[in-house]
Amino acid sequence: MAGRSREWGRLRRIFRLPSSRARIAADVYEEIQFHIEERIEQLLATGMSREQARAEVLKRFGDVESYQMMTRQIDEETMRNRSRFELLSTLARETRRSARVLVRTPAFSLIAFITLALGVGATTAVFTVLDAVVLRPLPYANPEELVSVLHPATVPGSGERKWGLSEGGYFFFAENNTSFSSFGMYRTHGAIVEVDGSAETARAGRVTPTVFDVLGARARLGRLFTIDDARPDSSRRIVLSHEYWTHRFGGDPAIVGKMLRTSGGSYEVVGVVEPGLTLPMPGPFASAANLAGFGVDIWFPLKLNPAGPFYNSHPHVGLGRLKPGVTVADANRDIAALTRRLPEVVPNAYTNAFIKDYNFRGEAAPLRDAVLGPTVPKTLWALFGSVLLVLMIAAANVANLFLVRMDARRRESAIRTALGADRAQMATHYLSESLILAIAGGIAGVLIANAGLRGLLAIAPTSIPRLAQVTLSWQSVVFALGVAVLLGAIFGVMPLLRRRLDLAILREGGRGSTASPRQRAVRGALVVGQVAFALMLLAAAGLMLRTFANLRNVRPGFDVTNVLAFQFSLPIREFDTREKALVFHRELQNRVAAIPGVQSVGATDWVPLADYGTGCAVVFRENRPYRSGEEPPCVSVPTALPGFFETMKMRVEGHIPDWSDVDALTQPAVVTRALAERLWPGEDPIGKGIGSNGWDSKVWYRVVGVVPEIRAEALDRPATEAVFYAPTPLFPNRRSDALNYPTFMVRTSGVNPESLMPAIRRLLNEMNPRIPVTEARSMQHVMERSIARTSFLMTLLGIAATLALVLSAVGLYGVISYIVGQRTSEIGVRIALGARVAEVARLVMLQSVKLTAVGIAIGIVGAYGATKALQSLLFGVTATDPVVFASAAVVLLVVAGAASVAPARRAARIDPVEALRSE
Amino acid sequence: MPGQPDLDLVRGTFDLIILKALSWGPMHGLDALRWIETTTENRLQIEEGALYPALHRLEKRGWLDSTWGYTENNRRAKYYRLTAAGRRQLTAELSKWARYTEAVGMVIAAQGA
Repeated sequence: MAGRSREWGRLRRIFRLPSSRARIAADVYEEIQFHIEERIEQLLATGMSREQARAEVLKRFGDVESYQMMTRQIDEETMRNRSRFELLSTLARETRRSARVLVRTPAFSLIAFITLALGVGATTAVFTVLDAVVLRPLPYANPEELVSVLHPATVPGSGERKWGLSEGGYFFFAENNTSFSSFGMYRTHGAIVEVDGSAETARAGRVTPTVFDVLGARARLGRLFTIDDARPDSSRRIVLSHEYWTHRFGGDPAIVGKMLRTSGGSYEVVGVVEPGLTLPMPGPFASAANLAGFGVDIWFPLKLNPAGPFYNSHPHVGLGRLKPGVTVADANRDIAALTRRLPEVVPNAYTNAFIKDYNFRGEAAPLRDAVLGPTVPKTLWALFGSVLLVLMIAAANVANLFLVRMDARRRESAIRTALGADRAQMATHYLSESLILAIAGGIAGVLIANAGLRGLLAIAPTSIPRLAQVTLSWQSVVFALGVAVLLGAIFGVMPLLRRRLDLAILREGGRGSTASPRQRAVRGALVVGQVAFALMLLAAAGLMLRTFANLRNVRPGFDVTNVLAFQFSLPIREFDTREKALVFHRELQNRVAAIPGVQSVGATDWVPLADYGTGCAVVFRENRPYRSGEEPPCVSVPTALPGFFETMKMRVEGHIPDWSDVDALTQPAVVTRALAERLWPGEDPIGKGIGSNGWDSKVWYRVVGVVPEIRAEALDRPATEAVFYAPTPLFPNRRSDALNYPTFMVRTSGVNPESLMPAIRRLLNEMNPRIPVTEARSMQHVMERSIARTSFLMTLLGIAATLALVLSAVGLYGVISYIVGQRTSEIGVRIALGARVAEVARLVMLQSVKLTAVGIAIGIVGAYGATKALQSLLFGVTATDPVVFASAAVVLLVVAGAASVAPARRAARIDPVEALRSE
Repeated sequence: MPGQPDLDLVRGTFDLIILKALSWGPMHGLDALRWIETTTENRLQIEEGALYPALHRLEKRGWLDSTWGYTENNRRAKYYRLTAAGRRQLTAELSKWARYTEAVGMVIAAQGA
């Protein structure tokens, strides 16, 4: 009784509470008016006139207005405090009650919780990657103003390429563009720094002084570059990155003015740049090492001579910052127009024929798009789409659980309604339960996402930029909880959507609850949706699986198993001629070959499946200039040292150049069949002259062998056009980058290639301690990395599809079981009338197959539209491959069948007597 | 009327006076004021309007409870009554006041001067 009256008291207070400012003002006014009028009446009774009485009362009362205002303010504060208190106490009460209810039905709560946590977790993990890589802006000041300036060109024989800027082009653009407030260009390379007699590599950025302005970078110490530093005749100066300065020089505050020795000479340090500055690497310049932008250690000024001479060489990334009000489209038109004028202003580097033959264009693009490229956002959006589908399937299962539960609680809600609970109260009731569950699921989802993210990053392709920066961020947490709350709200509102609250159930006594046809339809629709989504995911996963299989089946024309590739640099000052470098090469080859387990050794400067296709050189044939209209091929021009073909197991028809050719200073070359057929169609290429020094050159390499067919650019690209030059010069005594920055290839007789590295490092150190190994990896690893994007997508879509399949099966099982339960008496009648076990089972299975078939039909239509987005990520299979679609459908049918076996058996075992009695 | 108001209210005593007035039972603002006038023989100088912010402040603190009701001649008026917390507060205030007046009394009664 005491509890009752307390409840009553609280209710009264709620109803009495002035609930709005207007209400408070009216109450206060009335209260005070009552006082004043009552007083006046009192004085009138003593015989005063009304005016006198009024004046007297007001005098005694004081300032009516200000007292009213004070009182109102107090009441408004009271109102605020009370509503806050009421809200909190309602919340606490409902939370306690809901938690109790949820604990009382552990099976329901646990399944719903786990399903939600998995769905939210997977979605959040992928969202985190998408957010960090694609959605978040680049780490520069006003990054939306930054544009990359490059030259797209259609390179005869190898297709569409993006080249950087040439020196001549840069000067012309810098002086004549109307779009940029600042404009610069840069390239990156490795540098060898000598510290205490030993050598180590550092990453170098060679930039025009304007690059710092474009990026909005400031000096932390000393100064950055000025125009003066970039003059060809100025002394050697460098700027250090903040990271290099801290790690290598312990943050020496007196670093400015000190000298640093590199393999190219001594440089004076003029400044240290602010922390975190990297060089953005648009599409073709990006590589595994510079995903998050190229982390420069040492900044060199890019020394250019405005007077030329200029060459047709395009190694520099152009970068501009848009003037206020200028759009990217404006800048693009500007650069395109300037590019067309290059033959007229830089005639010795550009000809009109070149512009035409190569379809050489100028392009300004948002830096973000250029850095990300077209496939990465597509890959990640595809992935995000697929986890969203999984989330929806998971949500459908939970929704189904809630529907079942709702049914079980119809009696409870009917009683509450009968007792006068209105819609809002019922809403709080249901919402608090579903929200508690959803938020718990969301929190667990964040934890799952955190774990999943680590797995995701472990298998992610290294070609996704900025991936290294990915960590679970507050955005991800907000996302996860947002999704969870949204789902919780949907689940909570669902019971209120029922049009009429059936009080009839109270009369029925709550037994024999038959669901409304509408409810059954909702449940069926949920399952159909699940099946449709699962089919889409299965189709996508199937397409990636076929792509992966197709890639694995490509014969690259060489053998990557048991091959080690390690790269090092020979300091240019010490190895300043081919001869010196060759002596070292030969010695090293001999000594590596002597290591136990080594089968053969060779060297090159272009690593297959890594470097091919990143650049090219135009090749010419002896005595046969290209006719106008004939496209001069720009192809890969690796140097192959003796042993290369044998080690790579690349078949060569004809002669393989060996050390005796090098000693004899002949100039042999090996061409691929694809290139030979372009240059000398229908002829025997052996003995033909080939070179890259123009068609009127006096000296030529001689073709001695032909490689039948290799795919060195990528497994999904056409046969590579390449010419392998021997390491013998056309012009004596010139240095060769190929020999100074070589990659050695070592084939083992079965031992793990990477296990050779310690021995090789020891060897190198013995021979010359000033030579650092810059990279060491197995060729197997290189190949895997080249198809990492496909395997990444395949793995994740596979996981998503499996999850979808399992969740759909659970959903189907639930609904079919439910239907069997609903139709128990009907089935009982059938059995009583003599239906056989098989017939009953078939009846149930048919239900399941019907739902699945509808889902599959819808899913195929959906997949037909959705998988088109994957087209550019596929190889050897079309986005609407009928085999894949059919297989997905079959898999789903089988799973649907399996999911309904148990309910079907249960139906067949129904005892008609029992079933009819309980009716 | 007996006496003329000549005593200013000592700071902090108005709340005590209102609580005490209402300890006799629920009443509206004017009733409470009349009780005070009668009891003090009209000696306290109170601006009548100040009563209302005071009443509402006490209500906000949870010492008073209010409800609209009707007077004998059937006019709508807002009635106040002490809550349990208000009664406890009144007891505390009274004992504090008693100790205060005792102390002041001792000062006044001190010999010498």
